[in-house]
Amino acid sequence: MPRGTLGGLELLVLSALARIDDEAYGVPIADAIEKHSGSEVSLGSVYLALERLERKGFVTSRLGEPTAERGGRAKTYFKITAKGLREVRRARQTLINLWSGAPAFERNPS
Amino acid sequence: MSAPPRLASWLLNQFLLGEHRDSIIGDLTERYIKQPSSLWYWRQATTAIIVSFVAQALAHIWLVLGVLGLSLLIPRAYVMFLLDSVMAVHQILARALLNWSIEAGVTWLYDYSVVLVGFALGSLILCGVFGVLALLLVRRRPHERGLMLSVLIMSCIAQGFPALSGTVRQFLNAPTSPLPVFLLFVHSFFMFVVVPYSILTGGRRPSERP
Repeated sequence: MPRGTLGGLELLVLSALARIDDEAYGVPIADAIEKHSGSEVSLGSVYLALERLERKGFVTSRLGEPTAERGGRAKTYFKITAKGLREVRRARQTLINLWSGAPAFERNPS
Repeated sequence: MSAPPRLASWLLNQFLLGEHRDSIIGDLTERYIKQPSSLWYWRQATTAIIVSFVAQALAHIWLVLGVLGLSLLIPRAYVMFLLDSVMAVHQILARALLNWSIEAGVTWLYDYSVVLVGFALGSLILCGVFGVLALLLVRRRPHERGLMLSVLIMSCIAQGFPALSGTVRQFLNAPTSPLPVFLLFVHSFFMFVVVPYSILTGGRRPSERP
């Protein structure tokens, strides 16, 4: 990834946040990753990635109100920052550049 | 509305670490209610606990090493400084139990009185020491409570394994005697249940204290 700033799961989480386009908490983020990757993701790992992204200034968080259907636990809402959006765009462009014209993809398009 | 598996929820409440622990538990509960699957919940709970433990341990590596060192030092300090005094008390109590078992006609206790008192006394001291250590550590570093208690519990369980395997080997060498089975049961119960529970009890959150 560009400048070595984003790990694999961090990029997935940041991309999911960019898709949701508003504040999101763990469940919709994990749902978005699972829907597009086709495999189960651990919520614990998603939160760890979110913590790292927050430390890097790519996302911000705020605590919501506790609700009964969640066993009285509050949601933590995350929002992608302008810096995070720039980073995910840069990563996307890097991947597109790397993939375009790669012989392995040309030979086996599926 | 179905509730998530109770044991998995208890483990999450006790051992999930990090600033977002409440939100993770809430998210898991919300998802479980939408799509109830005990297997999914267990998988998610165990992964979350392991991931959060590794992340916190790496973030506080010196604290982990310090707690680990203390937990390894305590049993050795006990053997070096306290064992003689404890053995003297042990002899008095074992003799008293033997005399009582003879008077009361409880024949099965004849063989077990020394071992039983030894295990009970040693384990009580170990539970007390680790409980107090947990209390002191949690008071000093309340934010790292979960991490320190997890390290203490894992260390105690790991220290129980050599004695457990020794007892198993002894039983395999002399399978006719019921004594090793008895020792195995008592020792496992203390090292894998009672001592960890005393650590959790000693290290309760300040708000949970009566």
